[in-house]
Amino acid sequence: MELIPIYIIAIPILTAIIVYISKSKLVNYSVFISQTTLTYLVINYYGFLSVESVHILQIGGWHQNIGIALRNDLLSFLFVSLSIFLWWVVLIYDWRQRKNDSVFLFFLLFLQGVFLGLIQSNDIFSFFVFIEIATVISSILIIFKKDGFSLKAGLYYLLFNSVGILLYLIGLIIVYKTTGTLNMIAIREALEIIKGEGFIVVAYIFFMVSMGVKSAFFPVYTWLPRAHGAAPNSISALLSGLLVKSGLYGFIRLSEMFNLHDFTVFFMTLGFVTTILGIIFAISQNDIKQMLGFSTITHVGIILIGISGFEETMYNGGIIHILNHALVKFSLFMAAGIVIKEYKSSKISEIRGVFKRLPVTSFFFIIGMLVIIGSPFTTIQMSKNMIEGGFRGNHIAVIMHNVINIGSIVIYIKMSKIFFGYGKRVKKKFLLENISLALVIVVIILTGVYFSWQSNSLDMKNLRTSNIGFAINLLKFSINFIFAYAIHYFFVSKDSKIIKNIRRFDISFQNANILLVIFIFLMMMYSIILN
Amino acid sequence: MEITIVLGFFIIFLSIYGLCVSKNIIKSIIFLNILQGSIILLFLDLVNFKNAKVPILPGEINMMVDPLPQALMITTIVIGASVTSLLLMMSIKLFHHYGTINWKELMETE
Repeated sequence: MELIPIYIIAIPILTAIIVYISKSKLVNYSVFISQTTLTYLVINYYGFLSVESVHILQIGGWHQNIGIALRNDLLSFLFVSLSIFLWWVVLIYDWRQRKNDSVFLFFLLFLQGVFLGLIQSNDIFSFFVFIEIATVISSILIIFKKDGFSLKAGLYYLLFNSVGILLYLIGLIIVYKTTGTLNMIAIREALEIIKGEGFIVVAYIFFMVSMGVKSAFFPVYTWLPRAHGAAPNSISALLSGLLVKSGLYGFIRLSEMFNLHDFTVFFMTLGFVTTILGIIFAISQNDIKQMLGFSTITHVGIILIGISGFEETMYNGGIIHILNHALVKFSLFMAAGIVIKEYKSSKISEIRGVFKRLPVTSFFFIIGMLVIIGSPFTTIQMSKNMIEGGFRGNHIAVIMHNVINIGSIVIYIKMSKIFFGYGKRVKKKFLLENISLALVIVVIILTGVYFSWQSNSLDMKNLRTSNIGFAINLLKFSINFIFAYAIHYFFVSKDSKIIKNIRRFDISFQNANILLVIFIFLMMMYSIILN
Repeated sequence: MEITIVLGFFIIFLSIYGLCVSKNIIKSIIFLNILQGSIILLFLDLVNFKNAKVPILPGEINMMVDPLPQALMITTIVIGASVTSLLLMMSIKLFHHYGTINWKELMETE
């Protein structure tokens, strides 16, 4: 029971190696054995963790300040169980196509082991190692099709993320030099005294910028839409659902470690800008996967507003939004993947009549869309309301919030064009894919039911105050929807010149690096002005 | 402030400048490696002091250099080597596909 954190890192990696070495079709089925074992271990571990609430495992019995440690609390447990579930879904989704492809399975399972390690690591250096290995493996998975477009995207992704993660190392140097340890808890204790010093703020800035690169904040988002557009369908789902969240998870852990509250307003503004920019770019795209990628940037912005929030409700809302967005975006990418596979094109203008051709898939697709635009009684709406509730009547923030809602509705109104039109029904082609899709949708609905039950029984105060009667929410949503439809009808559907120009707007690798430098510079200026 | 620390920071800025202006993918990869090397140099130099001894030889403990950064930096070098090899492999494949490794020409192709 004590060693479960190590087992859930080691089992997928060992299975991956066995699959890769044996190269036999039968052995490939062992991935399901590994998944079953992991599920069993994690369910057992929950009983253990719910008693202790925090479990720290010092590997090798070394002293806290020099040894490697793994830590699990309820937040990391949420991520662990989410990732194991989503890997189940990916394996079922891809099984028909990849069951003989032991190389793909090797990288997929290795990535799972690394990701589980990343979530549980309690010292900043092993966090660096895990996040870098995860970047390398995910870039291999992005270029898996080996065509020119995905190679370009993969190179851009790996190069830019490596530059970002090296900045993390500069921060690590400063922290190690001042505190003499790498353990997150020990650093937090040591930094209590010297929190406001200039060089600690510099270290904080470097850490946060590298996490910003990993999770695609405003000026350094450029790798994300490329990578999402080029990767295989299930890998785009994984990237958007989990790997982008690894940066946000690092953001949460490092903010906990530094415990600095100076940058709250800065990150909130950054979150708003990220969200608005994601909406503008997503509306202008003509490719389903690119649109979903930019929509991910939008939601990263919303989560950033939540988790950098100064209030408990906003913070909780941000964390719940991570969970909700991971599940919903997963289902959307998978449904879009089925559509793209059937039509052999990802352009919205070329796909028509999905509802008649793939009725089951489009049923799930529509449910996913309804959830992600934040329609009433769904999970996304609850977490968005929790984040909005934290502002407590700050008018600018509330107006911005409604703008964000309208924008995300416009994106999915544009995407819903693919359902209409004539098509011929295809029979029983995507059975496994639809099963995995159904699995995700069921979990989304279950979490929705769970949260709404929680909001009535436990004291999630703001959830209830912002839900003053479901009628008000319904009214708000329908007003937003009418606005969004009008915007779509008058501006977006015409495909005007401005939208075409925004679509062509592209940032080269050199300019992305300049933006990275500007990002660092902005944070430095902000901290100087503040003092 | 010692000269090596100043030099380390100087090379960091130089390599970031190089990443901002280099037009060729191979040059970008080289500048990434220089950035990494300068960070490693900086870290190893910051824990060093005068008359420091190697921690594996017998002697007084107070005169020994802290071995942890060296272990960390060896890991970083290994990761950096794997990243570099993967990047070079990708650029070879890109050259086979498009016949160029210039950023601008690559981004114009569809």
